[in-house]
Amino acid sequence: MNVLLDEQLDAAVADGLNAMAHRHGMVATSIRTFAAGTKDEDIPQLCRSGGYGALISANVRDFGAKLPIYEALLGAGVSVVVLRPGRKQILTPEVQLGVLVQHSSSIGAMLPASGPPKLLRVTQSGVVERSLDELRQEFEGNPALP
Amino acid sequence: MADMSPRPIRALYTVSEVCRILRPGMTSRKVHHWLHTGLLGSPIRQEQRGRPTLLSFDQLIKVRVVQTLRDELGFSLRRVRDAIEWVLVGLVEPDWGGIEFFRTGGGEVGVRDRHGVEMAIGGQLVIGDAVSQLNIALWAARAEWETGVVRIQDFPNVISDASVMAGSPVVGGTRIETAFVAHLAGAMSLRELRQTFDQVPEEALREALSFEGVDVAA
Repeated sequence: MNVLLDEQLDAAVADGLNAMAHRHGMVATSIRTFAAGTKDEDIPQLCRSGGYGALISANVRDFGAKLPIYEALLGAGVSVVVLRPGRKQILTPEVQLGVLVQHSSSIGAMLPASGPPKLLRVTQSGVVERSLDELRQEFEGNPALP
Repeated sequence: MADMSPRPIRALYTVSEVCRILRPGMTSRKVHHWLHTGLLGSPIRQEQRGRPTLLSFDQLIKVRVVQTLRDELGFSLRRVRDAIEWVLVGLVEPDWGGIEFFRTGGGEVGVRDRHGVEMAIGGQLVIGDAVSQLNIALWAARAEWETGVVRIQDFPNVISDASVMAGSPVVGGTRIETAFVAHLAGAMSLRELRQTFDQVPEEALREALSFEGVDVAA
């Protein structure tokens, strides 16, 4: 699957992931190299037209505040992989690459080649699939969610 | 004329972000007070269990206008509430009716639109060029609403674009959040940040960090 790295992630992460492509089957491209500054509403079309099945992004603040972006991507059939820092962890380029490579087999296996797109939350400790409904409930403040 | 179609992706702002975007002079206390009084409408999400209150882009613009009327022009919001509410509602309508303030014969300020709706703001006296200032502020806020881009005072390289990263402040022309740059600065020097964001001018990185209140070593 072709995946697109959002602009905040270091462009070298794409190279690192591609060097390990035999482990996860993904081919990564950084959006920095051809579409920096793209507006949120244009990302789904950018992914579809470029044949990218997923956007890999990072979020260091309130997860729910990015809900509109995730909704739009999933609604357009594009999966979303969100890298989140662990407690006291900083997503330096080395950490971005390390966490993604560490879990690349799981990410590659969980991203669907066909069927409904998925929202994956990736941290040092693992990969968790989140549904939009869960995210919406979390957004509304349901404390029972993980 | 800007595109008036509804924005396909919403922007969301924490109160803290609203305060930093509308700096200087904006405080979370003011925003929460105006939310509490209903002047801004209901927030997209109420604060609860560690999840912050979230406001819409429309509400960000409304806060900008209320701030101007109250803090810079000395309006008494309590006294002129009905008129201000009318202005705030119209301000974020696709067909906003060209709302403008004017000076009545009695020296008070009034507000009207081009459809003929007119409302006197009783008891709110204006002097000199205050009406012009009111209209400049109102039309500037309307222009921000139409473009979705809010400029931030003293930070020319930092913007809040409702169409980029859901409105989170970013380095202008990029999808790089100032919050993310500040996050990285917890473990990286400015030199390392420049290498990581090699497409971003150093001045813009410095501004992003300053905007986030981060002092970074060279």
